[in-house]
Amino acid sequence: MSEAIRLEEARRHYAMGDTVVRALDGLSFSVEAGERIAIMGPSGSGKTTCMHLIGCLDRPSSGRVLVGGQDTAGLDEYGLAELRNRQVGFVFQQFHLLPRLTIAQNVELPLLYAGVRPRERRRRALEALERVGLADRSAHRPGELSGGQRQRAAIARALVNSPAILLADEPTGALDSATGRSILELFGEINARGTTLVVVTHDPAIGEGFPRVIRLRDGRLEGGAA
Amino acid sequence: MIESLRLAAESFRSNKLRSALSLVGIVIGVASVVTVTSIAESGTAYLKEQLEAFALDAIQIYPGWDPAGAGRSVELDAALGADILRKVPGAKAVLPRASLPGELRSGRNSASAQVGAVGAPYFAAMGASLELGRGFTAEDEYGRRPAIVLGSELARELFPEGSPVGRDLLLRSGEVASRFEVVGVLAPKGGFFMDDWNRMAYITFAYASERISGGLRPEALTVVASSREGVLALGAALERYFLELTGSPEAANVITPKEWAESDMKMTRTISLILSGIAAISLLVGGIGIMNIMLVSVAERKREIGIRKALGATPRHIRSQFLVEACLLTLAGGGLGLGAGFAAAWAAVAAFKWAFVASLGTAALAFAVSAATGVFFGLYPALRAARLDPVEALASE
Repeated sequence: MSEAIRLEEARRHYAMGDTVVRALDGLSFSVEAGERIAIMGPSGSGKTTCMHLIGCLDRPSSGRVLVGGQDTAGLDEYGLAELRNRQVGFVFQQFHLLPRLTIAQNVELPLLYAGVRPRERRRRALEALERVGLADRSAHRPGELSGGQRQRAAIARALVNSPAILLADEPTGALDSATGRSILELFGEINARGTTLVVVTHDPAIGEGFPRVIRLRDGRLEGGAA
Repeated sequence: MIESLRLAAESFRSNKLRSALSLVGIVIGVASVVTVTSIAESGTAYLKEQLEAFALDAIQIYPGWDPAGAGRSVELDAALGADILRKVPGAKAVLPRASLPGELRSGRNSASAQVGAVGAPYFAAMGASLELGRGFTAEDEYGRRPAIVLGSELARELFPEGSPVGRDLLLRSGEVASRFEVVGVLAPKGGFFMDDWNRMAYITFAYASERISGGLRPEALTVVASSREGVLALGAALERYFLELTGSPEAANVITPKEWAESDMKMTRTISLILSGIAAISLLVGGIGIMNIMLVSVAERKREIGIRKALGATPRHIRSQFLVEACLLTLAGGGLGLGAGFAAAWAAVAAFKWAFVASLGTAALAFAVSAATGVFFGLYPALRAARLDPVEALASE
């Protein structure tokens, strides 16, 4: 199996006035394609920064981050945007659907930025909505949907471009536990079809369901091993 | 591109009031520029037409004004006229002109009007054409015939039912009332720097000075050049003649019609330039309004920008989204402004009784200027949006 994600001594430091914040301080691990992992740790442990690096929203201050075999350090904003668009599907805690667009239009967005033609976009968006069980809600706006439905729509959007990696940040944090369970089940199905799944969470109950958990503390691996 | 348009339309729909208010500045700016330039163009076109219709071979002489009181103004009498004809080369005829207040009555219709007392060839010399009948002849003048020529508007008022030519009317001026025969009606003609031809009545100077107002003095003399090419030389010769006669350059006012119209045109152009400048300032203010609203929009939609970037939007995608939005706003404003400007100019031009000139150039200019305003004032907010850090943008509320 090939590597989906690889971090080598990845560091991310911010200057905050005179002090340097070491959000990530030399983190190394790799994730095989098709794997299902959880990244856990208390707040301030660096898990969000880690997600930003894997999601190509940010680049490391030093060290290397490879996504789909591509080193993000050498990429400019356009290169990062393209890598993000092609390799990564994001699912956020607050869903992050655009309220003015319909569900179908929201799901189409990654295809729009990939340069796919409108007819093909519509077809693939409806297909993705079908997969998450929301085909009949495509013309609704996010405000008209329940929290669980919104998160399903966001998952459809993350999947529509068939990315190699599905990256979810506290995906059940804004949902009741029954709805949260159904979202995790959906993730399981998606992963079973070959998509690498990375879930960032602080909730140990969620972590228990994953075959592999990466625990962070103070910007490093807890215990120092992967 | 089409996507950007759709997104922009979407954004306006959700912010109707704000979009409309931010348009107002652009609408007013473009409308004022269009109004001013359209009025100026219509006015210039009118003046040009006037200049062409105007007799280019007639020079007007008005009494001068001597501020020192040392010399006196020339007396514009028949003797002077004869002297000019004798001494000034290139002068073919000298026609006296004066005006009297008059009350005209025909049957039950009456009107008050200025009555011009003129030499027989006056209409030809001034380039005024007749709609009906004829102008004055030498026989009218020497025979002291009670012949009268009416302006078109006056003719309609006094004779609403058909041609007045050959009909009689009563003219009362001061203590004297006399019966006149209408011999002609002038074609309608705009009056801008001249008397209002359409509301005037004309009789011969000879009749007026002998039968109505004894000792009537000409208020002006019209000197007709023997050739059109010679009119400037004649003007100069007349200046010299009066300087020699009175010793003062202020004793008489010699005005060629070309000078007159040209100075008017120059003034119109200057005024329109100044007004356009003022209008351009309002466009600038409108542009700043657009910039402001776009900056607000970028700040408000920071999270949206972050989401779009997370989904793979490049800086170029974001930039063009906001730029198209700004341009659509200003173009919509430009379109409304163009309509409003043309309407305002049309109303103003109609009030002046000019022909309205709706120039394509002005319309193109309005659109170009509003699109340019959108690009210019939308660029900075769009660049700011494009440069947002996705991590920071996603974290914003």
